[in-house]
Amino acid sequence: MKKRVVHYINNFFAGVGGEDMAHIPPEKREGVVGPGMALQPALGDEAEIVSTLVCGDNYMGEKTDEALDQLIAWIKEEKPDLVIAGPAFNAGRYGYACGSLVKKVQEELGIPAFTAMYDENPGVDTFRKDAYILKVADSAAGMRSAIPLMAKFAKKILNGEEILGPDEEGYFERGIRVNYFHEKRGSERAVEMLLQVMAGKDPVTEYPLPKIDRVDPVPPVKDMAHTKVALVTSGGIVPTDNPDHIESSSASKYGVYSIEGMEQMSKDLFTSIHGGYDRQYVLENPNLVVPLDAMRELEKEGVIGELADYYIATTGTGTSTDNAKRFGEDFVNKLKEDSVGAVILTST
Amino acid sequence: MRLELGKIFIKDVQFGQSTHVEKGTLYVAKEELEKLVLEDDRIIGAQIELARPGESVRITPVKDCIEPRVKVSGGEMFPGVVGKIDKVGSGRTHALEGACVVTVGKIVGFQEGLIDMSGPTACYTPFSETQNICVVIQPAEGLETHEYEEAGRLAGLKVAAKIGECARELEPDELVVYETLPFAKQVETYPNLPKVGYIHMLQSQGLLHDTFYYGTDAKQLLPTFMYPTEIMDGAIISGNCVAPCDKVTTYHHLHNPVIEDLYKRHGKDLNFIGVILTNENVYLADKVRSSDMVAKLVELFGLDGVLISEEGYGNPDADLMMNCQKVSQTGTKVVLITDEFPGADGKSYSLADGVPEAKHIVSCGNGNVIVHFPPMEKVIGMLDYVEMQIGGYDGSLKPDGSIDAELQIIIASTIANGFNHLAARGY
Amino acid sequence: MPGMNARKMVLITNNPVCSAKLENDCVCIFDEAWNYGQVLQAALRKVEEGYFLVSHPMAGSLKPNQTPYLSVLLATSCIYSENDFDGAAVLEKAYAVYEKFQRQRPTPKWGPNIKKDFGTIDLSIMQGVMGRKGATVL
Repeated sequence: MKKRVVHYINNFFAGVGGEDMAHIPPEKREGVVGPGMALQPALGDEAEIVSTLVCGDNYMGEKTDEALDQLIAWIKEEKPDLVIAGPAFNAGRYGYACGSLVKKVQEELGIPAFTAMYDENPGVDTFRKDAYILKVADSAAGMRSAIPLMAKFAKKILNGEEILGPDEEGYFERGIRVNYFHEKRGSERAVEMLLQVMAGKDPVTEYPLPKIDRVDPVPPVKDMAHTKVALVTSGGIVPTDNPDHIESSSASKYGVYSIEGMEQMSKDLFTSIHGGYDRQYVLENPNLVVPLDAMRELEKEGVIGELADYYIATTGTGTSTDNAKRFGEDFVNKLKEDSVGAVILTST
Repeated sequence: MRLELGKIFIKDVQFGQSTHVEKGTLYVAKEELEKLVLEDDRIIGAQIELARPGESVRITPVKDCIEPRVKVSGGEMFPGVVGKIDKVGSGRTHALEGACVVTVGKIVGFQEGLIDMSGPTACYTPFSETQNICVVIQPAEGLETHEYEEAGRLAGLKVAAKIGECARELEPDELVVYETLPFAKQVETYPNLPKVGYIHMLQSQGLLHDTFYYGTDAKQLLPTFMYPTEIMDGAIISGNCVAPCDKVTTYHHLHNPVIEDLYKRHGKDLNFIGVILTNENVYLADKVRSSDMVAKLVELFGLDGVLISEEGYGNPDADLMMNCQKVSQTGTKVVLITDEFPGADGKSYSLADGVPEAKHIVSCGNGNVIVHFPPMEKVIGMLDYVEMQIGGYDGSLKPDGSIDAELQIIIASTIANGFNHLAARGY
Repeated sequence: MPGMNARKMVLITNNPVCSAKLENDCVCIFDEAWNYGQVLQAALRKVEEGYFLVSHPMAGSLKPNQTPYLSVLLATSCIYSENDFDGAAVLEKAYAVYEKFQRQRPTPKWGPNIKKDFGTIDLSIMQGVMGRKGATVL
C-alpha cells in the first residue's frame, strides 16, 4: 500500500498571487500543487502526496490558531503517514507557518512531520528544537537541490529507518543531546583538541555552550526630572494604515511614529498588527502597550523631564535576534541626536 | 619524579587458602580479608564476594573501586590514609591490573552506584571488565553517618593494600616508566614543545563529597602543583559518592586517563610539566581564591595549554568555568572535559554554568538518559535502595528484579575526566 | 544588642537539622514547609535586600529533584568582588536548574529516615562552609 503524504505550502508557491494575496485563509486541494509536482516523482511509487494544503502567510501570522486548527482538522481526515511543509527558503513568515504546523502535527496528531528552510530563516531558531528542519538554499532557485534532499529524508521516515545525526541527514541540529560511543576515549580527544588549539586552530567543540547575548544593564538614570524619555515597543502598535507595512511576525523593519501633542494613544489613530498575542484589549486601548497616557501624567508631575514626541515600534514575534539587533543599532542614533536620555521598552 | 609501574595482569579471581597470584589468576583468602575489615568495630558484618566479567551479577550500592597495588620502594600505599605519610610518585610500584576491590553496603546517602557484570548496561562502566573482589559491609546499629562513610572508605583501602601486598615479589608482565623532571629541567628537555599542564579539580563539598590528598581533606587545600606520578601512585583517594556516574573512584585516580594520555604525547607533541590540584568548594570566597591561585600557577609555570576536568554537577560547574575564564585570561589555551545533564528530553542546557571562554569542551556523555537493566541471577549487596539512589526513581525497580533508571546510577558511566568512550552529540 | 547580628551570617534553610545545629552561629530563616525552589527564592529576596551569597546554592551536587533540603548562607558584606559572583544571577541559574530537574521528575516524598540522611548531608556541607570562614570579617 502506498504511504500517504500531505504537503503544506503558502499562497505564493501555490500560484495564488504574492504579498497581495498573503491574507488568504487555508484551503485544501487534491493531489499535488506547486513544488509538490517535483516532490511527487522524487518520492517514487511508494508514497503519494494525497493533498496539498495552502494558506497565506499573513493569515497564518495573524490568525495562527484558527489557521492551524483548520489545517490540523484536514490533516487528521487524510490520515497521512507524513506531513511535509515548505521548503520555506529564507521567507520568514512562511518559515514560521511551516514550523508552527509541523510542530502541531507532531504534538497533536503524533504524525511525523518535517520542513526545510535556509540557515537565516528565523523559523529555524524558533522551531529547530521541535522538529526536523532540512537545510536548503535561501531562495526558490534552490528548489532543484531541495527536492531530492526532502524526498530522501521523507523516504527514510516512511520506511522507519534510523534518522542519523544532523551532518549525515542535512537537518539543523535540534539541540538534543544523544549518547554514542566514540572510537577514542574522552581524555585522548581532549589532548588532541588541546594540541590543535595550541597550534592556533579552532577545533569543533563537542558541546557548544548556548550563545547568550547578554547586555549589561546601564547605570541608573541619575536625574529623571531632567531627562528626555522615549517609548520603544516590540508590541506592533502602528498607525492604523500601517504606513511602513511592518509585518505581523518576523519583522524586517521598524517604524517611527509621531505622538506630538497627543495626550493618549487613540484607538482611531493606532492599532496593533502583532500576530503573537490576543489583540482584543489592545485594539480598544493601545495605551496598554504604548503607555502614552501614563507618561504624559509623569511628564506633568515633573517625574520625567519630557517625553520624546515620537515612539518607535516593531513586531517582536518570530523576529530574528539579528534583525532586532540591527533595528536597535539603527534607531539608537536618532535617539542620541534627539538627546533622549532614557528609553522605556515595552513588550507583550 | 620517576615511577616504575610494574603491571601484573589478572585474568581471573578465585578464593584460595592464601592471597597470591598464579598464572594470571588472583586467589584471595576470604576469611583473612573479612577479619581485616572487622578489625574496625564500626563494621559488624563483612563478606567478600567475587564477580567476574560476563557473569550474570549486579553489584549495588557501590561506594568505591580500588585497584590492589603495592609500593615496592619509595613510600607506602595510600600515604596519610592507610600508609605512613611520605611522598609517593617515585620508586617502584606493582599493580594487579585487571583486579579491583569494590566496596558495597547499605547506602549512606543515595549516591552509591551500580555495576552490571554482563548485559546491555555493562558497557557503561569499566568495572564490568575487571575481576572484582567485593567487600560487602554492614555498619553497627545507629552508627553516625560520617563514621559509617569513613569506616567504609577505609575498609576498601585496607583490603586493596592487603591484596596488593602479594604482588611485592612478583615479576611484572609489563614495566612502564613515567617520568617528569623538576620544572627547569623538564622545560629544557623539550624546549620546542608546548608546555602543558593538567588542572585536576577534586570534589570537596562535605560529607560524601570529600577527596583526600595525602590524607588531607581537599576542602582545606590551596591549589598546589604536583608531579603527575604522585596521583598515579596513590596520593589521592576518593571519599565521595557524588552522583555515581560522576564519581572519580580511587581506581580512576590511580588510572587518571588525562595523565596517561598526556604521557603518551610527552616528548613527542607536548611537554607535560605537571598537575595543578584544586578543589570545588561551596564557600564562594574559596572558589574565587582557588581559581585565582590556579590561574597564578598556570602563569608562574608559563604553561601554553591546560586540560581541566571536574567531578560532579552543579556547584563544580561554577569552579570549572571560573578556572577556564581566569586561565584563558592569562593567555593559556584551555580545553575542558565534562559530562552533560540536559534533562530527560536532552534539550535543556547540559551544564549549570558557562562562560564565553569555554570554547573547547569534550563531552563524556548525557547522564539523564534512561536505560533498562534486565534482571541478573545474582545480586551482590542489595536492591533495597535502587529507587533512592541517584538515577533511580519511584517505580524503577520491577518485581522481576529488572530496573529502569537513568545512566547516572551506573558507577563512573559519564565520569568527567574522559576515562570512557561514551560521548554525547547534538541531534 | 543591635549590631551583633549584623556580623552573623544569615542561613536560609528548610532543613530542621541545619536550623537546630546552627541557630546560635547564624541568624536562621527556617521554614520546613519550603521546597528546594522556595529556599532559592527566599535567598533571592535576601540578595535583593542587599545581602551577599556566602555559599553556592547548588552545593553538594545533589540533584535538585533528589534532595528535599537546601541551605544557603548569606551575609551583609562579602570578601569577594561583585565581578566574581552576581548573587542574583547565581540564584537565578540555580533556579533554572531546579526547574529543569523538576520537569524531568519531581522530588519524591521521602520517608523520615531518608530525609534525615539528606538533612545530615546538607548540614555537613553548611558546617564545611562555616569552617572555611577563616579570618574573614563579617
